[in-house]
Order: sequence, then structure tokens, then C-alpha cells
Amino acid sequence: MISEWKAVSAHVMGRSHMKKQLPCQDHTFHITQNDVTAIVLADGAGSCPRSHEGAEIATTHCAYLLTHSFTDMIEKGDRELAQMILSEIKNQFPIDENEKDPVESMKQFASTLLFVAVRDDTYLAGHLGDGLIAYQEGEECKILSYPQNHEFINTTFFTTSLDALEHFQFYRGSVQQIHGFMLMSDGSAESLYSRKDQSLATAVNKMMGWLEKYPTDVVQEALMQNLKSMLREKTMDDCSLAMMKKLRTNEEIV
Amino acid sequence: MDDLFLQHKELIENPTARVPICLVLDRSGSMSGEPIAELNKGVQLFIQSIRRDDIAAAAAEIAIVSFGDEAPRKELDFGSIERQKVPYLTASGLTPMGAAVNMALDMLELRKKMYQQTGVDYYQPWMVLMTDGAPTDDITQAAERSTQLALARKLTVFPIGIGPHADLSALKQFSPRRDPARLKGLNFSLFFEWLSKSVSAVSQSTPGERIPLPKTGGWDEL
Repeated sequence: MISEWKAVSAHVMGRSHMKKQLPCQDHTFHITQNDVTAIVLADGAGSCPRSHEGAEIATTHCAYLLTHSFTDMIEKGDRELAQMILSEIKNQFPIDENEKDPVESMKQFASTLLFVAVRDDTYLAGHLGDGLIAYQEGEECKILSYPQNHEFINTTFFTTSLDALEHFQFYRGSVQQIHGFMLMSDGSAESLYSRKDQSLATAVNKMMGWLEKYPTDVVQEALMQNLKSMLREKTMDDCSLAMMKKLRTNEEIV
Repeated sequence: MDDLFLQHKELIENPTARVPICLVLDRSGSMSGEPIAELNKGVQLFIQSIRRDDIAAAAAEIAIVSFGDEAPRKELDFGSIERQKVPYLTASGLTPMGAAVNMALDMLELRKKMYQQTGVDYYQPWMVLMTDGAPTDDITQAAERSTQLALARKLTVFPIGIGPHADLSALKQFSPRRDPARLKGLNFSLFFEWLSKSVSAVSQSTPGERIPLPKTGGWDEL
């Protein structure tokens, strides 16, 4: 059974970075290639001056890996898979080979990483750090992967963390009962996820419905506008979202 | 196309992440007169400054433990800063610093448990320890607790000496990561103004951010 998926993603600078005239450290990417549809989101570490570059590298290269090596990746064990993704990302960081302290230089590009990729009826999802992955089953949106913070709100795990391999979570399964996925950064989660009840806002279901009803470019624009006018107003942080929705299967098309 | 706009009612209202701060203040006999008067003024100013800053006011939760007489006293428990009544400290008696720090750490632990149970996120707690003298009780256990927490980055300690007789080496035992500073004269107001700005900076920080605290503005001795 072949599914057809539609994907959109957007990221906007938060009020804190606007005030400090710093770049947006959230980055999102979506792609359909080689029969794989992937959405990827990364949130750069607050005080690392080049983490916006790190977030962009993480999203684009993770997406590249997913669309080129999905079959290989789905079969790997968690630790091996984490190593494969993190190496691919870290190898792209523009660090001088003669750098005195390459580990320290690498930290400048630190970001979280969240992704979902689907091929045929199988999905692979990964999550390192804060933010959240949601999925839609029937008409209900549920949480696939919860935010990973340390004890304190301003601490989490990054692509460059020494313990990143231990904290990179992976999920695999069938999409037969799943109709959509959404990735959100911690800035967006502030409006879309209740920390007390560990539940999702009704807005999540509503946004997933947009992809069913409207063309991709319309949804893309709506996502951007709502990030700017609604979600950004409820946090000082950058905000980003990426979502994908199953439209129909080849059986339905026939 | 109206449904392409989200409504407020479709979003979640999460509580603001909190910064719990415990002031542990010396009110022993040696603080009598101008020092305790200036300290009281400084604490008032601190609370007022936080109240004036919307973001800090929503995030900061302040408690005060004083140490004088024979035992420490809980002067103010954590709560909404808008509703808190600032206590007036009177100086007398000894300097039971160890017991006061233990009380402060217990209160911070309890507050963190409350946050965890109610789904409220929080930043690393702060303990501000101010004294003009030397402890008159055994500080070993309290210093050990404080040190362990600070080394594990679970507590930020601000050790402040008041006047020339403050025992900075005793203060240092509570704070392995930050050296004690000596207040310049009785510049409590400047110190608390700086502290409120620091709270504001922390309450706006995001994951991975190193938070540069504002310049002291001259409250400390060089």
C-alpha cells in the first residue's frame, strides 16, 4: 500500500531574539524524495552564537539522510542510528581542521533535533531534546514523544551533548492507523502542549485538518501567519512547526 | 478560509516557569542600627523592582529566612509576589547561619516538589546568603548540602559579606562555584537592584543559554 503525504513547515523569530537583534535559532525543513516524505525541526541552543547555522545544518542533512537511506536506517538499532545521524550532522559543521579545541567549537552549532519520515506504510521518528512530536490517529491527536528537559526548564539535550547518544529517542511503526504527524519546538509547545495534563491543544487537530482541506501553499502561509500572530505572542522564544498529513492510499485512489 | 486562523480558546495557557529565590539574611545583634535599616530598605526595593517588571514578577518566587537570636526564622514563605507582605527584620542575638541555610534549602526542596506535582516548570533555584559576621553554630552539614547542590548545578548561591567583619571564608564554604563578594559600605539598595535585574535576565532565558548577569553597578568592593 502506497500512501500520499503532504508536508509543510515554518519557523519564526521569537520576541526575545527580535529585541536582542539575534537570528532565529529554530529551523524547519520538509521534503519528499525517493518515495520518502520527511519533516525535520531543530532548535539552536540559546547562547551558542552559531546555533542558528547548526539548526539549519541539522534539519537539512537529517532530511537528506532520511530520504537517501531510509531502508538502511529503519533496520538499525537505536544507538547505531543515533551515531549515524549525529555523525552526518556534525561532519557538516564548518569547523577548521586546525581548530585548537574542536569539541568546544562543535558546541557553537548545538541544537535539538526532531524528525518523522514515512515510506510506504512505515514511519521512523527521532527526538533529541525539548519540543514534542504528535501524531493523529483517527480524529484524535496524541503525543508520540514528550519534551526531554533536565530538571530545569532552561536545560535540555543537544546534537553536540556528550550524552546525546543516550538521549536520542527513536520510534518506528506502521502508518496504517496514523493520518498525520506534527513536530513543534518548545516555543510552539508553550501554546500547544499542556505541561500539567500532558495533553495537546485543540489547535493541533485543527491545523492537521488544514492539510486535508487546502493546497500546500495556502497551509504554508497560514502556518507562518499563525506562528507570528498567535503562538509567538505567548512566549519570548522562537516558534516553529512542521507537519505532514496522509491524503490517501493507492487503494483509495484506484 | 476563516478556519485558517487559530483562536485563543484553541491554545493552552501554561503557567509561567518559576525562579525560586530564597534570601537568607543576617539579623544578629551586630546588624543593629543602620545596617539592619538599610537591609530592610534594600529588601523592600528588591520586591518593588521585581513587581515593576512584568516578566520577572510572573516568574520570581521569593522566600526570606533570617538568622539572629538562637535560631533561624521563616520570615516569608514562597508565593505570588503581588500578594506578599514584606517583613521588617529586627536585629538581635547570635548568628545561626548553618541552621538558616538548612532551613532555606529545605524550603527550596519543598517548593520544587510543589512545582513538580502541579506541572510548573522552573529554573535553577537561587540562595542569597548575607552576613556581617561569622556563624555561631556548626555550618558543616549545611555547607556540605549547599556545596553538593551548587556543584551539581542545582542551586545558584550568592554569598555576600556586609562590612569589614564578615567572615568570607565561612561564606565560601557554601559556594564552591562563586566567590563571596563584599558589599561596598551599606549599598543594599544597589545590590538588590542588581539582583532584580538578574532575576529578570534569568526568567527570559531559553535552553542552552548562558545567562550573563548584569554588571554590579558598584555595589561590591573591588
